[in-house]
Amino acid sequence: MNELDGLLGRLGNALDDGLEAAALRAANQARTRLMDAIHVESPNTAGRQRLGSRRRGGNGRWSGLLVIGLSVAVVLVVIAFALRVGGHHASSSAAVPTVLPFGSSLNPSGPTGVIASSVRLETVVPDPEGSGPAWGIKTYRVTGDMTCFQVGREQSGRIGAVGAYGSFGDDGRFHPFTYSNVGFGTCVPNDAHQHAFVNIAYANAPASASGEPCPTFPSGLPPHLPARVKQQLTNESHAADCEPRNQRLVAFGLLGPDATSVTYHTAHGTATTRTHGPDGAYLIVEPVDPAICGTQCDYSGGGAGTAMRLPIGLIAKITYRGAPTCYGPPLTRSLLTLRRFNNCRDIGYVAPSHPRVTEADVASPVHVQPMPARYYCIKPNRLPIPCDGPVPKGYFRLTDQGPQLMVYISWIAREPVTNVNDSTYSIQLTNPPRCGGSQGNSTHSLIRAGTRVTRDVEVSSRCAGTYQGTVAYEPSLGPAGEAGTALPEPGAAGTYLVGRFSIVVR
Amino acid sequence: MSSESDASVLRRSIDQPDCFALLFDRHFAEVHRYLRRRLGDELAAELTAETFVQAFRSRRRFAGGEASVRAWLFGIAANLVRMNHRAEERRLRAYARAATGLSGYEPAIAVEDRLDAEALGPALAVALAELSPALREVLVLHAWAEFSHEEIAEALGCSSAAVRTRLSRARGRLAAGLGASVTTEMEER
Repeated sequence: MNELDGLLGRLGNALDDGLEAAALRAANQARTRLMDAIHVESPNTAGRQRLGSRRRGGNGRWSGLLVIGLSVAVVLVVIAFALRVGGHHASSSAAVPTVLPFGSSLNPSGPTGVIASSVRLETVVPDPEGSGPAWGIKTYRVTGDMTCFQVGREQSGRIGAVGAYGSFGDDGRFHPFTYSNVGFGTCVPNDAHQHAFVNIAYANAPASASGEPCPTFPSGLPPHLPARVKQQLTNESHAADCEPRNQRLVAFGLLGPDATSVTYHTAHGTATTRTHGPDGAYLIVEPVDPAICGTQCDYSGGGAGTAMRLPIGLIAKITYRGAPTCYGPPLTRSLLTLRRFNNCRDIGYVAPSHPRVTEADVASPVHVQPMPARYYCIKPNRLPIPCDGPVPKGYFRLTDQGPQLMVYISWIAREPVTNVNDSTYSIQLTNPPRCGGSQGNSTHSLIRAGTRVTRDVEVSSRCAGTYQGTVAYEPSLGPAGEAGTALPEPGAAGTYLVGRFSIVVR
Repeated sequence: MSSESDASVLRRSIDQPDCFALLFDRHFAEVHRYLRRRLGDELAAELTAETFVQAFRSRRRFAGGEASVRAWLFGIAANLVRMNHRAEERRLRAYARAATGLSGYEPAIAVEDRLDAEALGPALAVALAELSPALREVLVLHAWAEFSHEEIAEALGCSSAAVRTRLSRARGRLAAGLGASVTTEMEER
């Protein structure tokens, strides 16, 4: 068995490739967050840091931290000053909000701070099995004009997960989330009146509130699945906290300032809960019951609702102040029936004002540059590159792709993207008619006006003919799009054509 | 100053929060390397930061006396990994799929390690991914963090006997999971 330990050690060494550079980045990130934590707990530390820095003199190990410490101290002084001014002039409400550290986001353009005064525990509901702490939903505004909300177990006003049902080694403890860990929640862009709109439902949430929703199937695996797929799905859902008895149906959302109540189906009929807070928050936690949402419970990918579309079979109706009651879609497979139930969307939503643009404002020539190669290599945040020869340091060679031709598409972005949740540039590519199909991609990054943007598309070198493409600028015009990912996709969008291009494959 | 024990620094940090920085200096590299092996660059950076922030916030509850601060830190890290065990499993499977591409990397790691990783890495990674989070935890704390049974017990809050049992079970399942072809590889060594 020592042989096995040796092999594991060598696997570990192999996984250490690139460790030094990664450690430098991670150390900076960790120092910043730790310093924030120290200051949140003990704001007077800043003064001691200054004294300490003189005393320590040439000790450079924490010099970066001290610089951050001083910066935070300056911010705190500014905040304190602003609050004092507010106190003397009660009519002035322009105090600088205190911003708490959000923690790092996996999305580099994501939120960086939490507006302290906006943090609200909206509501708590008991666990339907009477097991463990209550469930809660907490909302908070974050930098970048977004609202985040956490959903999970609640204890002393904090949202988190419990060490039970196979999670956290069944340690019986409460594990609170940090602001950057939203549990089953998400972050969505605000509307023009600083309200957020979103609905999410998980019929397969682990009762511990830890981790992702379970990839399990309360109503059993569909019978037509191949045995290999069934085995794979069974293996993936093996974790103890994902056993069917350890799951809950958890549905929640922000329905806007005008919503007053939500009526939903339960195993025994219907129940009504009122909404809470300025965003119309609601939270429903029920035992898993396929009779409520049928096959819609089978969210194989971890599951989520979409934007303001209500979970099928769960929500019976929503009442509003000054607007007609709307009715949620029933449990049905009939698309025609479902299409009649879109009228709950967007009540109270006020679209943010975007600068008026025309296609003439965004028009740009689109350049096409084929990059023929047998193999391509990829690296995070970089364009794929041809690499038939040696693989450049830091790149991975793609070896499992079919015969593809990589093509660079570039254009001048005349309108900026200042918030990835709010606008984007998209590329659409239609395959030659004899092959059929199309593909699309978005920029997903912040872009300064006037910069040249380059993105890659892949075409099949087995499908000869002309590929027709467009580049478009798409500001968001509606509530956030698909939820359940780290950050939402841009919502319903108006499309402004930047330019067209074509790729000919012979 | 530098010879002061971790536990003493931790106690001092209750009244002098700045002192916690010394523990960060001492243990950051090891905790980060451990988390990076398990979760990759981005999550490791996030969770290493979170480990130290959680440790700082809960330092008053550290009742270890002269017990190992290192084990305590790894215990916090282990809890965070458990919340992300699916990400870890995805990383291991992705590593297994991409392992053939490793041959193009600059040889920043020993040639011997690289050859082993290429030959057995994919199968090992998959077998590791298929272990339950609890068993995988014990195994990698032992193999990657070089923890003794007692230290693992301290980190995970269980008995040494339970650690021995889990370790034995994890090794058995890992060996079984490696399958016949890999067993042959092992026997040929």
